[in-house]
Amino acid sequence: MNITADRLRSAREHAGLSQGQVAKMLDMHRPTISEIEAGRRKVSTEELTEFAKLYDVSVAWLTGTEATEQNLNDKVLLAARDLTKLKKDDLEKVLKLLESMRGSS
Amino acid sequence: MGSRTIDLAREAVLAAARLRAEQGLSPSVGICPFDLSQELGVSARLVNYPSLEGMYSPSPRPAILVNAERPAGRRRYSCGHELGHHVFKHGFRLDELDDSNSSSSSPEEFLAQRFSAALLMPTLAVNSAFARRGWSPATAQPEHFFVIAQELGVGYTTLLFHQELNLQQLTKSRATGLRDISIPQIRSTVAGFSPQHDVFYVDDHWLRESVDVEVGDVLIVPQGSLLDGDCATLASSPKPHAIAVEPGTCFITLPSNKKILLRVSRRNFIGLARHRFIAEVEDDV
Repeated sequence: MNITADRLRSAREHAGLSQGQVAKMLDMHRPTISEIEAGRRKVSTEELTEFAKLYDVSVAWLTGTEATEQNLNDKVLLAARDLTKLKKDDLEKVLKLLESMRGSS
Repeated sequence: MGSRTIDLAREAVLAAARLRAEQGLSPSVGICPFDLSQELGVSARLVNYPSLEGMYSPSPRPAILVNAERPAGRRRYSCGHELGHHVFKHGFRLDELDDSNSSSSSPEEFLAQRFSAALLMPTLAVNSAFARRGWSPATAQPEHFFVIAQELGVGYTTLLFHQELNLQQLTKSRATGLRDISIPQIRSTVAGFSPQHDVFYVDDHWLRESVDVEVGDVLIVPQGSLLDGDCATLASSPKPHAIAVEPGTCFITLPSNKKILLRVSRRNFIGLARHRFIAEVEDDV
């Protein structure tokens, strides 16, 4: 599975949308969404931009070309430093989510 | 309260009032902080990260995370809290899950807490909700506070704490006595039966534009009320009510012809808050 297909599925699920809902909102057929997420259909630049807006992620993240931003990671870790009840797993999920928003959408 | 605390509280109340005014939101009506986030360009998400109560990040773009597993009122209060961090430009903030009811330790957390209270429960909105129903905080029954908390979109105990500690409308002993009544017991009193989930009392006194509920929630409505969509169904026994059955939106028309938007989401919806009321598509079900 290619990275864009994988991330499109992940971003849709994290946005709380089903394939059918996305298809309806973007005026596409549901099987098309399924094909895209399976990596069997290419996605145009325009389509990527639409997906990014709908899922609130960046195009750069969807295509795997996002830049690493150590500064943001440091801020998150600093904010978590004094929290005793926050689980490491949850902190990692926060970092991943913020990573998906990096870069221009 | 010390003078520093009073100054911070005043700052929070003024900031909340200013934000409402800037957004054209009446100070006498309840609001949805998730909708307000959207208006402010702050992305709000409901997540299932068990130990996280909320988060605000100003970068890469302003974003709020709220724990989806918390009760609906708590989720809205947390969203208001994180919006407070945004308004006060506090920078990145993480709030861990804490049920201890401990007071906020830092000035930033205190500001955010008071901002959320003032944003969701302005004095005018609380007073107006009681007055137009002919109720008074001094004599109202638990179910009255519950009905008003639901209209303001906050938890029953949250409203009581606010009226006791911030608005000084309840004595400590009265507020404590009211908090001792169980929520299921109050819901049963309001509904006339024991509902599985939440209950909303929707009548001509309901001033908010919408009633935001989850699948399975019950709305007690006047006899003769109508629905124009499939996201809820009407029932008449033991008293007229509607049950939210699927995500989506529709209008409730009361016998007086007053129309109120009903917005239904999945229970504990996880995802972008702006997508939570989107109807499911048959192909997916």
